[in-house]
Amino acid sequence: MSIDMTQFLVTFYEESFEGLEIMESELLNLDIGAADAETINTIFRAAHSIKGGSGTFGLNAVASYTHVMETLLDEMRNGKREVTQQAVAILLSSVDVLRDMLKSLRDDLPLDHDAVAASQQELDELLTGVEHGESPSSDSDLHHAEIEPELEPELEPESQMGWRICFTPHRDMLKTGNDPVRMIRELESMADIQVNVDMANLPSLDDLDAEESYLSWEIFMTDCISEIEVREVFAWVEDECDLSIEPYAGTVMEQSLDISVKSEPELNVELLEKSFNLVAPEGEKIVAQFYEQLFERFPQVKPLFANTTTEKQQVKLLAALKLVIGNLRNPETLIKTLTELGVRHQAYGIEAAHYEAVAETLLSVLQEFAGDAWTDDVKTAWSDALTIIATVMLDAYQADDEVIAVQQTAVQPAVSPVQKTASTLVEEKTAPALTTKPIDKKAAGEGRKPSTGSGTGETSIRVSIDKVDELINTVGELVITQSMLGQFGELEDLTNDHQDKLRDGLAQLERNTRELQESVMRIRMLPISFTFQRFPRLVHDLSNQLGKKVELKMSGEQTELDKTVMEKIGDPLVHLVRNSMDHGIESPAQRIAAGKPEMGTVNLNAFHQGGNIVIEINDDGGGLNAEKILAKAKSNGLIGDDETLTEEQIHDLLFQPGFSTADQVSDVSGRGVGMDVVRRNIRSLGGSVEVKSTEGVGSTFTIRLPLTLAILEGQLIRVGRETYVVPLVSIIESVQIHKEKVNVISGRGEVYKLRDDYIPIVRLYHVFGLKAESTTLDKGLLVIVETEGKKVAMFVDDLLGQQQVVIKSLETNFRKIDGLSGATILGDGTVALILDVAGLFDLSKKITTHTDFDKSDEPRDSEIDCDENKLKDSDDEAVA
Amino acid sequence: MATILAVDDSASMRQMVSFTLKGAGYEVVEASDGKDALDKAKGQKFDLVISDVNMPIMDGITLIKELRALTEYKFIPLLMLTTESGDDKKVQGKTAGATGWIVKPFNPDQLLATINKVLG
Amino acid sequence: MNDTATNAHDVDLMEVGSEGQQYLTFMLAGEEYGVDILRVQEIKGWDTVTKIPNTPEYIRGVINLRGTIVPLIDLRLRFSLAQLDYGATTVVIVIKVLNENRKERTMGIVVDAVSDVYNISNDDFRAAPDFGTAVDTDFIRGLATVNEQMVILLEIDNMCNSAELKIIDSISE
Repeated sequence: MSIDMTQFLVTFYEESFEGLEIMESELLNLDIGAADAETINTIFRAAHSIKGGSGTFGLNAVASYTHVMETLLDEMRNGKREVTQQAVAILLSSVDVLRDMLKSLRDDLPLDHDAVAASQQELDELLTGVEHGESPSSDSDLHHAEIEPELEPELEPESQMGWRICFTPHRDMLKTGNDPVRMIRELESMADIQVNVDMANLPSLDDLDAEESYLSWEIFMTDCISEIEVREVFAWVEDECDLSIEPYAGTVMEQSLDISVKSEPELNVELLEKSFNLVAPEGEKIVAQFYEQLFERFPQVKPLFANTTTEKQQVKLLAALKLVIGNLRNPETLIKTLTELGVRHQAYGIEAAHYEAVAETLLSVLQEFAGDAWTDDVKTAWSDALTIIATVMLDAYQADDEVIAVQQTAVQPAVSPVQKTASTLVEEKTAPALTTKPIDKKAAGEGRKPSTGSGTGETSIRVSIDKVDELINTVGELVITQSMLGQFGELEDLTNDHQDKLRDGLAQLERNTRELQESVMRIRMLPISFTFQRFPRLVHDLSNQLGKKVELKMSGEQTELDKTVMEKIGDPLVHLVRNSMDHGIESPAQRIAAGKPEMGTVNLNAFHQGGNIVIEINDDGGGLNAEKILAKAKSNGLIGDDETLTEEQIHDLLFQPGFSTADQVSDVSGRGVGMDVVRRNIRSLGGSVEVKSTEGVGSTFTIRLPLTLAILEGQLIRVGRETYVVPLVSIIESVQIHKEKVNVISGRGEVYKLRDDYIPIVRLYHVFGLKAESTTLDKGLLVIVETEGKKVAMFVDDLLGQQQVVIKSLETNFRKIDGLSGATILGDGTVALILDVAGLFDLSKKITTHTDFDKSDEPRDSEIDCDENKLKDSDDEAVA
Repeated sequence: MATILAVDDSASMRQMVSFTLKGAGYEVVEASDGKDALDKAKGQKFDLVISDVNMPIMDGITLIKELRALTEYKFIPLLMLTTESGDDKKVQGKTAGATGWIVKPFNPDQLLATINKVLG
Repeated sequence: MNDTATNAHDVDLMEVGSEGQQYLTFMLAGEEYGVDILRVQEIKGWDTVTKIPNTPEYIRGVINLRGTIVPLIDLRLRFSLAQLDYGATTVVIVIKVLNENRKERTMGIVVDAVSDVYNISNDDFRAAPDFGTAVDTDFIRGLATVNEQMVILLEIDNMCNSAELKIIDSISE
């Protein structure tokens, strides 16, 4: 049978990656020196499963790589090997290598052989580095397995030679579900065998425990079978039997055993079945005729039937015949039945001679009914069969006489007393059931073969059945609403009553649609633990690398967010955590000097707030050094020498392109990527990032992200003839402009005094170069928005409605535009652009500030320099 | 046709074993650990149990021991799936009452050949 | 619009130029331009667009094409030709454009009118001389003569990936 193993690979990869995650997190959990046995066992199990699966599914590179890993873990598990820091480190890096290997294989990419070899060597060294330890057993096993095939030919005899096998199962071998018959039959399938049974140990029937094994066998095997193959047959029962296998010269027949082999009858199953089926319709007549003839020809048997009627006997005989023919292919059952029958017959006082009488009569009757079909072959078949039946039944007598006489005829293996059988004379080849099986399964197997390929590059999400059920329920309601609304389409006129119902229906439709949308969105929602789970490892590795002691605390791992957002937030988060560890947390010495615990803490926290998910990265490190940041910003020309900034503004400088306070590029976070990129990436997800810090106490980076990239609660605004969408979450309030509250700060533009705040005004028409209705700050409205801790007053012509909008990307067919996060399609089919509030604020700063109630009626036609390349590669942002 | 209980914590191995055996006409019930298997075995009589050794919650050795203690499973073939390095597991398994083992990695043909032998 | 595609002349061309390609041609300020017809997704009338702030004038804005946001390029403005009020014949040809990374985008080009469909064999090509049109020669695949009229065959991938239209594929690091 050929089964396409690739169909299991998708599952295998999936569970292997899960296994690797478990290995990683458990390795990180290991207490060096006092490793918890169950933890090691869990790690071992994961490696073990990957190895087993990869071997089975033909990923040999993975299998051989995991082998060493598994061996190491096995030794740790058995207490043969200490769990050292070094071992954990090597195992952790091998988890990475393995993950890469599996990814490459899954995505059909070339393996990084160098990395694998290097890691393998590391593992090997770790494994063999133990000088006193015996070389691991599995290793020798492996070599053994390689050598075996080479040895095989040597073992094979040059000329005809065989084996003499002495096989004595221990008393309780049957209790492990092993049946000597199976082994003897297996030997028989390999070569011609001749079997001798030793019944010396067989107790009397009264003492016989059917659950125990009393027999032993001497088996002679011819043909060129290697000893390994022979031993293989007994592999499972090695310890449950006495087994000797000796070379045996000569053929089986030559050294005939002292067993009388009369004629070696064989069952010709097909012929028997065929001929019986031919006469079966006449069954009742046959049995009637049989007894008639039997009593006629052998009147001496008549007394044996004294206790029964001929009618009853006829029914029994017919049943017995049917049973025998029906079970020709089922020797165990047949023998069991015949043996039982034999025991009963003996009780009736039936002797061997009687069997002959029966056989003769039956043959004669059958001949009569079969007519022309009664050929010599058929006759032989029946005659042989009856002989065999007689033998089996008579054997049962002898068992009753405290000896189960297993007459060995031809190739017949025996038999366990548990089945109370004496011998079986049925050859395996006459039981075609065994050979037809593979054909069936092949057909079935191919029929089931799925048409899908290896599934390279497919992404999938696991969705809990609850979410799907919810979806189905909602769709169900939608269908009901639809059919309800559908009625109105058939009406000629709408009465008032109808109109009310129609309105109700539309309200219901709206509710259904919203629910449906929410259900669908929920399907894409995954707990943020999928992203968080990589951090324990990261913190562990980085702590070692930086020589710092850092503890990671995570909370809110179950907070859900959209899968797409999750995929994209990973890298910025890694960057921020690295940054906290590199620049935030001080060295142990510094911490002790500052009166802090030696062990620093990084908190990773996620929670929902409004329509957003908030992720906080908090450290108890040194905090931001405002002076240092300011000095750096000035020297980098980010701000003027005489500018004064609030603390928040100073902290925000971290996110400015081209800012870096790192004195030297560190190995950890100095990768030519700055916080500006982090912010840009977060903003591209429609999110924001800000930092709050207290010097000497620590810093907190707060990321706010929309739960989904697909839908947005929006406020529509109008500027001139254009409609824009402002994310509702960022709007604080909208105000009518009181002209007296507008102030102009030299060099910093217009601000609006709102209660105690001075809020910079951004004239949207100006920033976007539009023709607006109101260009002076006495008409129009100010929409106060907040992002990243900053408030901005957007000057717009009008507020329109609020609605949910489906976010469409501008980048699919065009490109990113500063100040915009995307577009949407309004109810009338036109496109409205969605404002990116944070980006807009930055954009407004780039544009030469227009102030006053000036005459800027003209839209600007100068283009904004939005060249991304202008952003210098900043090394990094050092803090402490 | 015989009904087989396939026990493995690895879903891909379970899939493979189950697919292969079903293809050969056997009825197959899957269980993901020893405990799961034991519960299922108590609710339904299987003609053969084939179990992985290393599993969470209840391992294969314990499963075999527990099954053997049940009257219905006294003589039922119980096979373990082990690896070539699992010699000690084989011994433990045998002591617990396992009929025999199949060594991983194995292919569907090997699996079927063994099962067919055991189920006769 | 392409019922002319079956005229006698066209059939001739198809016979000689089995190696050739079909081009959809359109008019722009009296000149006939052609684009590879396999790239043409559809042709639609001019409708309202939504302006994109801070983009060059020739990017007229974006439209909703069955749920996707598609930018429109005014070819007259792109080629620095005199602007013409949009009229009844003004059409938008929606085309598929590939960037350097073979990523496909959909864009619309606004032209004066659609003209014809020609089968032009590769042999009928002439390289574009620098003949002083407003069109950057990078945008020109070649020149062909059909019915004794010159047709300028455009290289739309170059045209639509230049300058402002260049996709910034990734804003990540």
